[in-house]
Amino acid sequence: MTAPVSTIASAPTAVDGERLVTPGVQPPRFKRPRRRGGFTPYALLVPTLIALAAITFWPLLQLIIISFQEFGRAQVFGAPAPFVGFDNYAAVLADPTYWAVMGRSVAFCVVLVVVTMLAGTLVALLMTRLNAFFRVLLSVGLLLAWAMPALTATIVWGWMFDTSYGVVNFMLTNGLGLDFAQHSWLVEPLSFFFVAGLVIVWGAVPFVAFTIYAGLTQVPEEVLEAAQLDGAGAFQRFRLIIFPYLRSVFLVVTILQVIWDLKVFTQIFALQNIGGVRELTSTLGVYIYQNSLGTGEYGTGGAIAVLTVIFMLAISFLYVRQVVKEEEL
Amino acid sequence: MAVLAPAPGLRKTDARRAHYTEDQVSLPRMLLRMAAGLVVLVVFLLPYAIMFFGSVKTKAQIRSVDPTYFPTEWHWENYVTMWSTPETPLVQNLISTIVISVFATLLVLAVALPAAYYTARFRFPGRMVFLFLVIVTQMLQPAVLTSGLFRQFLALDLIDTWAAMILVNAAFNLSFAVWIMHSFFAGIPKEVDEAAQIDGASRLTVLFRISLPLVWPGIVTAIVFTFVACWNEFAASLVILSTAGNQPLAVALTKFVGQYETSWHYVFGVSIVAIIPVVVLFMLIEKRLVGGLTTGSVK
Repeated sequence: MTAPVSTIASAPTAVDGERLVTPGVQPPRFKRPRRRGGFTPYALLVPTLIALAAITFWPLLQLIIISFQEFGRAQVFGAPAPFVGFDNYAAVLADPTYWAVMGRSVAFCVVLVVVTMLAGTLVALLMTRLNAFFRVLLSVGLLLAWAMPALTATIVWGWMFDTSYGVVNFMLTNGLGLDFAQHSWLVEPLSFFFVAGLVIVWGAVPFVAFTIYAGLTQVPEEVLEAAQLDGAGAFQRFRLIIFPYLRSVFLVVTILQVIWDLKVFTQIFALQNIGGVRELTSTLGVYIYQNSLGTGEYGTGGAIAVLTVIFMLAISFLYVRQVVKEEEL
Repeated sequence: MAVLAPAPGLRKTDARRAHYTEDQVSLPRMLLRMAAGLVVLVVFLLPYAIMFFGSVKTKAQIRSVDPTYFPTEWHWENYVTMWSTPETPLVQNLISTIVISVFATLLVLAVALPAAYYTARFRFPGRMVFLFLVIVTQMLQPAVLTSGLFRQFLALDLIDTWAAMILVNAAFNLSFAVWIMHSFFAGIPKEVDEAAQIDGASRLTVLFRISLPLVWPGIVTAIVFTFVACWNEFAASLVILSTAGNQPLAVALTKFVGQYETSWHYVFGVSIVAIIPVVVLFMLIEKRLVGGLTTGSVK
């Protein structure tokens, strides 16, 4: 550590609880903050980098190698895997199914991210406006949804949308008088994606709401009060004050949502098992699974997985550059 | 720029709870907000209601042809019998889940906190590359990672140990924790740190006494995220932990799902019990979620 031990003894006088106070008689010791941290930042990042290498880059490397090989079931049991150059990639890119899946995934992802971010932000803003009791109650509710495993959540939502005895059909038929008796929600692709989207957004909103709420607590009250006195409406306060303050939090959360929604697997997979038409409802995450573990064509599956990662990298790159730029202003 | 003491008469707790809510909120408005809160709450708890009603039915009631939502008889004994089923040693599963999740979360915090602080505070070459790499970890499916992990831990002779799963869970969540805390550290005005340093505080003092209290909400978010992720981790546990007693609840749950019939009442009952420790942890640290108090720190 770079910190000299001697200064710690004098520090408490400069800190009172969580606030800073001007120290009494102590002459201020000027210590220019160093622009660069020497070796320390690197040293602190070493464990994270080792973890990254072990759980991501090593498997990713293997995935890339397999994507250039003919790797079927025989190779899983030890047969040599011949390199086939870009054959797997050529086959995937020439397959209209891949493009259909890709288009479907991107469209689904865009809708999911927009809805999740909007709903999450609204819930976070609502939390700042509730009294302590209701806020804790709401946070526990959000936490419960967050902590429910995706598979369990999908099964339970699947029950609610069940054709013959789901509570949704029951309510729509008996409560609102609509003709939803024996209505199948999962056969029609659009309706399938509505249910899938509901399950995914339901599970994703708590994380977004918590993170943004945590960020909202950092927005200085005085600035908001001043803006209100100057006649700024709620929407203006959000756009002109809250959003700029939380820009980096919003960027992080959005990019994570984009990645998670593009690779979404469990919910789609489980709903297809309950009763969706696979050919019309597969998204990238499920498609990779179908083309590797499903068919045993690990080379092809690997190529699709690598293409997906490249696609996500391209999107993330633009975002990360944005984050770094914002902070350097 | 001046560093301020708390305004006289403003108690810390007031500031914490008040946020930026207007002091005088009309009653209908407050009721409207509470109603909105309740609606959100109901939407998020709906699946739990279904699970709860399922958990107090018998196997036969769940599988009946004309199912009712409310149980006709309440079989509370399901919550007792589920601890001693032939399918899985649930008590050991619970202990295993707690040990793995707690230690993995502590490990993540110990490593990620300083890393997040330094990446947010120092300009050093390769910073953007690091943040970019962190995001890449989120891009791969767990299923893609597990076979490689199995071989790594086989080589380390750590297969079927808690240590292996603590390391795996920590590794899975480390990059995310760095990333999210980074964005909160980056949100503190640099002037706060610099002011403290000018006042003679060391770099470590600044981190623990000044920056840390301001980013508590970010830390809580990272803790909850990590803990929940560890608690529900499934793919790697399935491959690495082979002894039934070592396996976490997420894996134990699948034992109730049989090839021919499923004990849904136990699946739901265990799912509900499994959530309790997560809620307890959250209640313990919830106050910190509103602890970020940059108010008045810079003027």
